[in-house]
Amino acid sequence: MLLAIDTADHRPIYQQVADGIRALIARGELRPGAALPPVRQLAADLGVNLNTIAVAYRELQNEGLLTVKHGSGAVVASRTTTEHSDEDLRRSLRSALTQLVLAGLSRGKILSIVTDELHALTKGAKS
Amino acid sequence: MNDSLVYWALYALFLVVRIPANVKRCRIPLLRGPGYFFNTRVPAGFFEGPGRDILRRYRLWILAPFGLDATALAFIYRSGDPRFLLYLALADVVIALINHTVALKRSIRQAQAFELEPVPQASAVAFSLTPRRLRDYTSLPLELIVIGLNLAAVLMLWQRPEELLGMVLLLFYIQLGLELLKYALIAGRTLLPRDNAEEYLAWRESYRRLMTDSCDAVRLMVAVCTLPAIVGLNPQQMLIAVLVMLPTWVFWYWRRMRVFMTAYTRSRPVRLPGALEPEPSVPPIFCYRPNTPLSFVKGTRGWAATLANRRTQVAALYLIGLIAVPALLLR
Repeated sequence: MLLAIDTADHRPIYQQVADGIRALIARGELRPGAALPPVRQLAADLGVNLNTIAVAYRELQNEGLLTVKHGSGAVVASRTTTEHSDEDLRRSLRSALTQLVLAGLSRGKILSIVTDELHALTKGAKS
Repeated sequence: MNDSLVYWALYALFLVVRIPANVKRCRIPLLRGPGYFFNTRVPAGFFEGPGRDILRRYRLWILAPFGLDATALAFIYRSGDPRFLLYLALADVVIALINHTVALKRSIRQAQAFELEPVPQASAVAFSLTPRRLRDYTSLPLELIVIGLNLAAVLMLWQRPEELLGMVLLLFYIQLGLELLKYALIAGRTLLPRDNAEEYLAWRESYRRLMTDSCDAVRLMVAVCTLPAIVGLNPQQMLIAVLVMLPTWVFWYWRRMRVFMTAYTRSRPVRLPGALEPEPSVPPIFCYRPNTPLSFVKGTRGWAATLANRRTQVAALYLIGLIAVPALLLR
């Protein structure tokens, strides 16, 4: 399973790593219990600071998507443990939508973007 | 054939074995085609102009250790103790590695003065999310055989500990070194270009597996050699054993060359631009950077080994031991 990092992307590397893993989990390509490489391996492969990958893993751990055990790497958490309250989920969505509104996009364009992204995200979903 | 002659014959074999490796090193700069010197894009006619000298110096540098050997061999011959040949062979392996790295860096630096334009760095790179663990590259049957052979060696050693302890320790130490080398190969950096990343990963992985398998094969060979060494094969029998093993080595080398050449010519190295850029504060040779996952960090004054890295620490300890163990044995 491969992930891509693009330096032309405005997001920092840790964010790209976290978003990439998040998307793979959402699409069902990374199933609960799947092992991820240790921080050291990913950081060495990319040639980045250990903290860069550690921050990405920590972010995913805080969201309940990963279980990180010191010394034995990270594992994709069971989806039952990643349940958020309705308000939490709405807050994230509201934040993303706010960005789009502030960018001056029309309601129709925003809906089109959301539909496309949702379609892309769920296209390969296995569960 | 007396013992001394056998030592010399073994060393002669070792010299012969080194020839294909050095021929390969001499060929690598031109492997990517006439427009390249290693990975540096050079203008047409480069190898008729300044490139000729750069290439010639690189090749001379690669062959220089043979000159050192000639001097050392003269001293060993005069000393009358052919056992030093074994230590010379060991030193040759280390010197060849260091020498190749230095020659490579120097010649690339010289060629870069004529570089057409820097090889465009990929703005997008890929990496694998598959964990690489030692156990994924470990064969259980092979490990059981090696453990069995080592246990047999320890049991046989029990009868004559004073006589054989040093030699068995050295052979065990070599096995440990090979296992550490295997671990380093598994942990080695694997960044992939975004285009044809899967194909590239497959090449890299086949090369990695070949190298780890080679470590295992040599470890098995060392374990196998421990027993006859304890039983007390005479040097002539040992020479015959080496000759018997030679075809295996030739087959392995031929296979390795094929995989290496394919991986090298078809897959360009990639680097994530902006990641771990040279730091002005890195001192030469050694530094302490606890946050970097790499064993070596590039500074503005060259590369420095990171002493905060556990792999560097283990390698340093092993190398100290590699000098200490033969020194103790000689005493």
